[in-house]
Amino acid sequence: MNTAKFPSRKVDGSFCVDVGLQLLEGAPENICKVIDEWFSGVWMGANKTWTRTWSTGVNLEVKKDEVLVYSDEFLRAPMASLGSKSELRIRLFGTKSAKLWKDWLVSKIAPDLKEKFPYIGELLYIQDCID
Amino acid sequence: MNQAAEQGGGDVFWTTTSQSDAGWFAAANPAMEDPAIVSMKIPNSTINDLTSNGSLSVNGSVYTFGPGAINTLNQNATFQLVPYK
Repeated sequence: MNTAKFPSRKVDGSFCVDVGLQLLEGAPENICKVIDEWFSGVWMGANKTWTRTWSTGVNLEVKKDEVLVYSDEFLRAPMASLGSKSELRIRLFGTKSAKLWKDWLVSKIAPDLKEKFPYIGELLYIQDCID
Repeated sequence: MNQAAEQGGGDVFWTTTSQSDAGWFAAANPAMEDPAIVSMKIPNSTINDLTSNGSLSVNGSVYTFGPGAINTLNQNATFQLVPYK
């Protein structure tokens, strides 16, 4: 029996989480617009799928590709907002069937975001959307 | 494993050598409990055995253990709670 309390599910089984990240000095005032445009105009197009290659067997010589599909996990592009002057909030909209959304967040979305926008700092929180 | 299954987990579990990444997963724990991170110290010989028999797969810093690895880990690995942040 699945008794998971987080993330909270809506009636249709989908969910919404906010990821709080430190905002370091140097961020432009219109950072949310810049990030939203990058997500929708660049990142989404390049990341409809994400292939992870797993290695196993003797000397890790056996390779197996795992193809993760963004739309299996999320309903739409991530959305940026400001939580406070030094806090960026990335909102994720998860599907009913999402199982690997945290993998996407930790290994794809956050690293890509931080690489593109170096004034984005460390994780502050992950929580259900409150508004 | 039973407790993980109650939270929606399966019989495969993922680990990472990145404590930062582990912190993200801990922060998003499905039980909404205080985040916690457990470290595993695994002898190289055990790692080699598990990869050789296909119970362990590696992708960068991410290590995926299959159900066949559980008993071996319990016998050979040491577990310790590490500070979260």
